[in-house]
Amino acid sequence: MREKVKGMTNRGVLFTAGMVILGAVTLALVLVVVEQRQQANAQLIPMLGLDRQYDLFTSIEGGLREIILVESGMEFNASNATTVMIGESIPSNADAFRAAMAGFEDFVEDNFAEVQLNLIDVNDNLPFFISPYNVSFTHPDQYGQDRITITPTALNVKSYGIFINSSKMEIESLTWGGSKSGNVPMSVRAVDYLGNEFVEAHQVDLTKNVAITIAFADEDDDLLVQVRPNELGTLRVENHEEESVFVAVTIGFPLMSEPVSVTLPPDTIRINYSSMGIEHRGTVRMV
Amino acid sequence: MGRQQSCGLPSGTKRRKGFVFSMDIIIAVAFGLLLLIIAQGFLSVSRDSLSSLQVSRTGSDIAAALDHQGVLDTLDEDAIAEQLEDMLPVNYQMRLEIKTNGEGEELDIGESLPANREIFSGRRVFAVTDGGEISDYGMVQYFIWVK
Repeated sequence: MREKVKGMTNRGVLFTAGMVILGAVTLALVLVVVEQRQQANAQLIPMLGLDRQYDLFTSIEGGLREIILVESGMEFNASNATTVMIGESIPSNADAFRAAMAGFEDFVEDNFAEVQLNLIDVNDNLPFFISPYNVSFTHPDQYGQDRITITPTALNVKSYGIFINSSKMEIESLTWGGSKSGNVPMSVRAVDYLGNEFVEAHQVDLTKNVAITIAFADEDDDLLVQVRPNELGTLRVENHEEESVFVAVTIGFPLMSEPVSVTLPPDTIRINYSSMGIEHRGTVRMV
Repeated sequence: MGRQQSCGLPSGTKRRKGFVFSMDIIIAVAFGLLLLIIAQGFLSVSRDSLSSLQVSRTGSDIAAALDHQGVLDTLDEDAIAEQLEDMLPVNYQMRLEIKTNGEGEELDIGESLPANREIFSGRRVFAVTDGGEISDYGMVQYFIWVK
């Protein structure tokens, strides 16, 4: 009988001890969760700051990209990881483009004290960088003028394809001068509004001279596509006529781990949240 | 009586023991509940940063989507409100304040800001395209909170 009472007492002690242990463990777990939440909360403000900065950055990037695409009429396409196409009309009227850029810059900097846009180069020469190949695409005189230049920093161009569309002048001839032997495929296709089409393609040596001339009927000046010796395969396209011609250059590159991209110069957009110690410098990616 | 005998205890002693056992259970349960209540108290006062971030990012994503879909470009209050309603999850509320440069237009879309809610806000800029040219620039400030 006493054993039964003793057993009952033991059960009571065990139950009490069990509840105390369960409660203590629960409390300990909750304190751990609370501690973790406090740590996470301490990181929340910087994370929200980074989110706000990212929002602003991507929207400014989107605005600049839209202005370039709409007002310059340039076309960009990276259909695969190693080929990029950049097309535009040369010469072109760049006034609307520059006005839109200036207006956007003023609007952004007036409303966001923490933002600084560096658009001097963009307004002047509208240069682009092709990564990861370190190739630049620019308008050497000034954007809107009659020429474009594609400059590699090494002989890393695998192919050049040039498409010319003349919507107002009749194309009379396409003459290929210079290198016709080498290991870099190069092609030129020229069409006009009358349906004339001229196509020529050769393997070329980019360390030698290539001079392709597109002549227009009843016009004094030509469109030239050139590669000069000792310029690491720099491609020049110049339309010496006043009437604009659409030129699209497709550049092929060797396969690298990073896919090809086209961007404006680095540090085009700078956002500085000094109170949070956040500074973001970046550029505009076109493709 | 037979059962009392089988237990071997006088009935008063047995009742006292039963009472002590019952009290023991009550005290233990009460203590356990007290600890659980304290734990719940800790949990309720500590803010869940992940859910805060989720709310904030929902607002950011919706504002970005409105921008990318070109709805903001329309500067049409009804069109923007309709699209906002379509995209906003049911347990959230949101307000958009849009200001443009050239026209100086200001649009307020969505609910009024509540007094006792945690509100997350962000800003975006956008270029307004109309008829194939850039016609204006705008800024949208969004506010989002849980209902």
